[in-house]
Order: sequence, then structure tokens, then C-alpha cells
Amino acid sequence: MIAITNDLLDPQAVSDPYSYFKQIRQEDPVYWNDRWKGWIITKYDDVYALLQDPRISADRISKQVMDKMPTEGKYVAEVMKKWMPLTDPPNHTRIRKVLQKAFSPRVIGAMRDTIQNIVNQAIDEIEKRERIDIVSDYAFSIPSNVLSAMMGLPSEDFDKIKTWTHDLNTLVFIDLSVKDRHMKAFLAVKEMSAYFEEKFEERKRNPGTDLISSLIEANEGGILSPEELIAQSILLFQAGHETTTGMIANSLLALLKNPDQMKLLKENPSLINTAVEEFVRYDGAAKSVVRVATEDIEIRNKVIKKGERLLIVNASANRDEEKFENPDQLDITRDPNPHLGFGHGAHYCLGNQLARLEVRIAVSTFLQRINHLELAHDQLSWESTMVGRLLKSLDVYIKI
Amino acid sequence: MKVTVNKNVCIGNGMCIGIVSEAFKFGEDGKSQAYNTDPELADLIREAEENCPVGAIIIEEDD
Repeated sequence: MIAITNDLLDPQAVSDPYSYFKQIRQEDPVYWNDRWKGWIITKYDDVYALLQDPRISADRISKQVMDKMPTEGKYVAEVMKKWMPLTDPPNHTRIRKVLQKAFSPRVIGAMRDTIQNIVNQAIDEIEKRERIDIVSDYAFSIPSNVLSAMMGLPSEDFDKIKTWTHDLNTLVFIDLSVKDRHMKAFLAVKEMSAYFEEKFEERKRNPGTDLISSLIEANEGGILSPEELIAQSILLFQAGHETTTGMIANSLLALLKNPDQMKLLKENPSLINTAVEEFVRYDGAAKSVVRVATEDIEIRNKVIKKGERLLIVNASANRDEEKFENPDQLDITRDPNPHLGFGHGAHYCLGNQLARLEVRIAVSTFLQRINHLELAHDQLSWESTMVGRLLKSLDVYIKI
Repeated sequence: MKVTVNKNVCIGNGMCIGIVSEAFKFGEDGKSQAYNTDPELADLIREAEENCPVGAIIIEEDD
């Protein structure tokens, strides 16, 4: 037993998960949380090993959870169960192979100019202002515009996509404050499915060079069913959006809190690659992932029983003092940096190359063009979720 | 054709093994290793290289 709150969404644990998980990691690294009814895994070596352990399943919407849901929620859960991150091999491998082609390092590398233009425009819109919210005024527009450009979607569709994603996430991220979240998510998924169905039909008639066309091409021979393909398209928006927004904001926050590192990066822009790896390690947008044991697993003299769930805390692994020197210090020159911020193993983030490139360009262009950057206040507010590490807003004063 | 996996970059995703298990397998470290470069597998090995999520596979073509 450890003397720490067992409420994983305790305000203190949400605002500073690193101190919270540090205590768990040091006192009880494989910790049974009686309130959440699952195991909390916090050591680097355990996180690394379990993420590639075939006895761990990613299919985590259990029958018990499904049974408790209203009809609308069940409909959404059925779509989510088709999402690649919630599937195991061999299904996972089959789906990933189709999507991977469109996200390979080479394909993403060719996106550089497109991303740079999107970032330049985002800065054009804010640079004359004195005070901005980095999350909603800057970071948010970048991944959504990049994804729309990749998918070849018109910008006038943008507001509705934004609303759909948001409504869907009230259920995916389990926002208990939204009472009608099942209905909201249901309507969003219905409308998104119809929208993407139409786009797929359009592209089949007039193929282009966009992501939807390449998904159709990669799916030649019908490796994925039409429903599966549409489920993945919804997923790409849902997954690529808030995490990358969060990553851009968290990176700039890390620099604001560490002025010496900000100065170092401004004076040495070529450090951006190691800097972004360090931002992901130090305060990545994904705190943890949920998995289920499919067999009994013995670990550090404890037995995780078949059917029990685990919270695998990447954010804690990334601050493990046995793996990283001075883990709580931001060091943008850290190299090698074997962080687990994008996960590990079969489910390693599909969009990692895209996210890395977006964050590099978004942070370095911001620092080049905005001369002075200062926190407007110290009241940081974080989304209260177990898996995401997402700022609600980041208010700053800027000067060009 | 010479095929190597950069172990510092490989994240043990297994995409290459999913594409061509006759050429790649997991090592004891959970990372991929190339064990067979039979010319008949060349196209699949190139496909694996192209699809590696982190670009860890390096191919040196014969002259």
C-alpha cells in the first residue's frame, strides 16, 4: 500500500502527473489501483517489455463495458473496435499495412513545404497581437489543416469536422461532465461515416494524390472492408488532431518554463531534432495506454491475472531515473533519447513521422518569428483524462 | 543486396516481419533483424524498407 490518492484523476495528479507517478514508481512500480480496478505500470523496463508482450491485448472495450452502454454508445463502440489501435495481430497487421504506406518517412518527408506554408499562415494570423492562447489560436490549426491538406478536403468543411471530432472525443476520452456524450458521439460518427463514404466514392471516380486516394490504392484487392476503411479515416482525424495540438503547446510550455533551453534553441536552431525528441520525453501528449492481459503474467513478484486491465504509463517510463540521467530536467541536447512517448512495438504511433515534422516546424518557426514570448499567468489547466496530457489553454504575451 | 536494421532506431513494431517474415525476425532484444536476403525476396524487402514507421531498414543494392 502506498500513501497516495488512488484517484488517477485527482486534480493534483492531473496537473503534475510526473510527481504523482514518481511516487508510485519508487514505492510500488506494479501497483494495483483499487479504485480504477487495474494495474498501474510505471517502470521503463516494464512498460517497454509489456508493450511488445503478445500476452497483452489492445482490444480493450470489454463485453462488460459494452453491456453497460446505451444503444448509441454501443454503435460508436462497434466502430471504435475496428480502429487499428484497438486491434491485435493478425487484424492489426492487416489494417496497419494499408495505412502505413501513407505515413512512411518518405511520404511524410515530402510534406515539408505544405506544413511550412500552413505554419507560416498560422503565424501571420497571430503575430500582430499582444496576447494569444497558443492552444486555440496557434497549435490547433496546424494538425487540422495538415490533415485536411493530406486528405484533400476543402477548408469550408473544416468547422464541421472540428465539431465531429470534439463530440466523438467526449466519449473516447470519457468526459463524465458531458451527460449526453453517447448521443453526441453517435451523431458525430453517423455524420462522419456518411461524409467519408461520399469522399471515398468521389476519389474512386477521380483519383488524386491525396491520402484518401492512396488509402484506396493501398487497399487494392479489398484488404479492408469499406466499413473498416471509413472507421480508419475517422480514427485519423480523431487521433492526429488533439495529440499533435497538445504536443506543440506542451513543447512551447517546456521552453517557457526553461528559459536557458529556450535561449539555447533560439541560438542553435539546428538542435530542433533532438529538442523535439526531448519535448516528447519530457512532457508528451500521450500519458498512458490501456491494455488487457490475455494470460496470467508474472512481473516483479506480482501476478497480473488473465482478463485484468493495465494502465501502461509511458509518461512515467520517460522519467524513470534508472533509464534517464536527470530525468526531470529538460535537456534539448539529450542524445540518445530512447523515450517511449510514441509507444513501442506493434502499436508504435503510426503518425510519429508526421507529428515529429509538424512539431519541429511549428516550434522552430514560432521561435524564429516571435521575438518575445512570456507566460500571461501561471494558472495552467489540463484536460482531466487518464490517457492524454493536453492543455486547455496556454495564454502568452508575444512580440515580434 | 545487403540489408541491415539500425538497432538504435528500430522500435520493434514488426511491420517488416508482417510484410516478409522470410527475411526479418525479432531478435532477443525485441527488435527486428534481417536474416535472409534471397534475391527472390528483394521486392518484399524493399516494400518493408519503404513501410518501416521509423526508417530503420537500410538496403545497399549490389552494383
